[in-house]
Amino acid sequence: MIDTSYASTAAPAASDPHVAGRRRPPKSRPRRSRLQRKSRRVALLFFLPAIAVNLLVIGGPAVSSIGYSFTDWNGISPPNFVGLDNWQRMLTDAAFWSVMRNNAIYLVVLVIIPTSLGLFGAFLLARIRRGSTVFRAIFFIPFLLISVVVAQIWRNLLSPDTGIAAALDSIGITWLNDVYFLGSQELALPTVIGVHVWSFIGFTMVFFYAAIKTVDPALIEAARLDGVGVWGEFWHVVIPGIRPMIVFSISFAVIAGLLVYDMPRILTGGGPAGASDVAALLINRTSIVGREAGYGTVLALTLTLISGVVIGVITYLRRKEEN
Amino acid sequence: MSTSSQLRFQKAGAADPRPGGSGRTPIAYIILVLFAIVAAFPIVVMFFNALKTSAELATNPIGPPTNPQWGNFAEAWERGGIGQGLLNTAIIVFFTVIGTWICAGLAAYALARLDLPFKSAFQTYLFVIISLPVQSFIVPLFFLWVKLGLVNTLQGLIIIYIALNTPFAVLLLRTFLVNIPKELDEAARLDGANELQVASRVILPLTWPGLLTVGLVVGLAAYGELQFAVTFILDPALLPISTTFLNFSQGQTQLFNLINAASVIIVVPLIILFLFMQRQFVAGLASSGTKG
Repeated sequence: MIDTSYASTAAPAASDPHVAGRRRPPKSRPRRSRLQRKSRRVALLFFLPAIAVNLLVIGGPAVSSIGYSFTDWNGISPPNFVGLDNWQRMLTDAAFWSVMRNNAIYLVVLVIIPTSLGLFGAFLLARIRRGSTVFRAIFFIPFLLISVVVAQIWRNLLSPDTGIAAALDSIGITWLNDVYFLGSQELALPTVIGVHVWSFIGFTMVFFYAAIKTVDPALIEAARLDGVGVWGEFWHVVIPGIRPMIVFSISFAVIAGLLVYDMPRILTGGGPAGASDVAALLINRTSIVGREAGYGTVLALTLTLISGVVIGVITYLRRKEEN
Repeated sequence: MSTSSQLRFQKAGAADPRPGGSGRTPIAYIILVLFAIVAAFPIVVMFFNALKTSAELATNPIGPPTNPQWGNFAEAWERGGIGQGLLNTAIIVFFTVIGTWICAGLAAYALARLDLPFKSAFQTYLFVIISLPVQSFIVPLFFLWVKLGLVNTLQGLIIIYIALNTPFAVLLLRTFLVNIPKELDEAARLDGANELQVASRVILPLTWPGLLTVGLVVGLAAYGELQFAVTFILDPALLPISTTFLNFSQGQTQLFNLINAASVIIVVPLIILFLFMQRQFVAGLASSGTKG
C-alpha cells in the first residue's frame, strides 16, 4: 500500500516538467512552484473534513481517555487526579478478570471454528461444478442479517417453550426440555459464542472461496498430475496460495472476539451472574451507567492495549514469514 | 470475476478430468447441503413463525404455518413502532452514506491524486484509527456529546457513523483513484477546470464502483448498528430500527409471531438488495472488516 502511494507521488513530479516544458518554455518555472504551493493547500483542504470529523469523534476522545484514566472523573464534574488508583483497582477487580477470561474463550472459538470450517467449506465449494452461486448466497445471508434479528431468531429456537426443544417434545424426544441455553451458568457463554459463529462462518466461507478462485489453476493442475490427492492439494497448494487472506480473516476474528458487544448484550446481557459478561459490556456499565468514567477508561485502555499487542504480533509474524 | 474464473475452471476440468472427481463431488455436495441447511433453517423458521397465530406457535413451533396470517405484518408494524424506527434509520443511513462519500471521497482524492503534504503521516493515522477499538473512545465521546447537546439527536449519531466509516472508505476509494490515468485530469486542468470541477466531473464518476461498494457497506453498518445506537439515543421517538426492534422483542415476549413478523420486515430489504448486488457486498465487507 505504502509502496504504491510513493509511486503515485513520484508520477506527477516526473511527468510535470515534461508536459510543461513542451507546452510553454522558460518562464513557467516560478509560476509552477506557486501553483504547486496552491495545490498543496487545496489538497489539505480536501483532506480537512475527513480528518476534522475523525479527530472530533475518535482521535480526540481516544487521546483524552489516557488523561482521564488517572482521575476520578464521573463524566460530568471536573476530574481530580488520583494517580494510579484506577489501574491498581483493575488488577484486583474480579469482574475484570472474569470478562478477560470470557473474552479469551470467545476469541479462541471465533478464530478456530470459522477459520477451519470456512476453509473446508470454501474448498468444497471450489470443487463442485454446479450450484456454487446458490450455496454462496445461502451461506452469506446469516452474516447479512442484523445482530438484533439474529439474536431474536436463536432466542426463539433455543427457548424450551417455543423452539427446537418444543418441537422435539411433540415427537417424544424430551431430553432438551429443561435445558435453558441462555439461562444456565454453564451454557450461556458457549451459546452466545455459538450464535455468533453461526452468523460469521458463512462470511469466511465466501471470502475464502473468492480467495481460492485466485489461486493459479496451473499450480492445482500440476499438483493433480503429481498425484498428491485431495488433502495434498488442500494443504500444499490451496492453503499456501491464500495465506494472506487467512491471516486477514484471523485478525478480523481476533478483533471481533476482543471487542464483541452485540450478541452478549442482546442474548444474555452478560448473565446469568456474569457468566457471559464481556469487556465491552463491563466498560459501558461501569462508565456510562455507573458513572465511573475514570475507571471505565482504564478498562477501555487495557482492552485497546491488548488488541494493539495482538494485531502487532500477527503483523510481526506475517512480516517475518514473508522475509 | 466469478463467472470468468468458473469458466476457466470448467474448461480445465473438461480437458483433464480431475482424478476421482466424479467419485468425490457427491460427498462435497452432501456436506455443502448440510452446511446450507444449518445456515438456512433458522431463517426459514423465522419466515414460518411470522405467519402463525400465537396458538399455532405453541403446538407447531418450527414447522410451516397451516393457515398463513398475512395480517401479522400489519399488526407487528403497528405494535412495534416499526414505521417510525425505519424512518429514523432511513434518515441515519441516507446522511451517513452521503457524509461518508463526501468526507472519504475528498480525502481519498487528496491522497491519491494531489500533492498532499504529510501524506504518509495521514495514511498512518487512518490505519491506526481503523484498528482502534470502539472502547478506546466511547466513554469520553459520550460525555463530550452530552456537553455538546448531541446525545439523543439523529445528527449526533450520524456524525459518529461518518467518523467510524470514513477511514476504511478513504483507503478503499484511494485504490480506485490511483488507477485512473493522470492524463485525464491533466487534460481537464489544461482546459481550465479547477480542482473541484476535476474531482466532481472527471474523477468521481470513474470511481463509481468504489463509491457503490462504500455505500453498501456503510449503509448496512448503519442499518444494523447497535452499540452506539443503544448508548446515544434514548428518546423513543428517535430510536433507529435496531433498538426499536430490541425494545419490542424484549418487552413483548409473548408475541413471538409478531416479533418474527417484525424481523422479516427488517431483513427482507437487506436480502433483496444482497441478491441483486452479491459481488459488491462480499468485496466491500471483506475490505472493510468493520462488521463483527
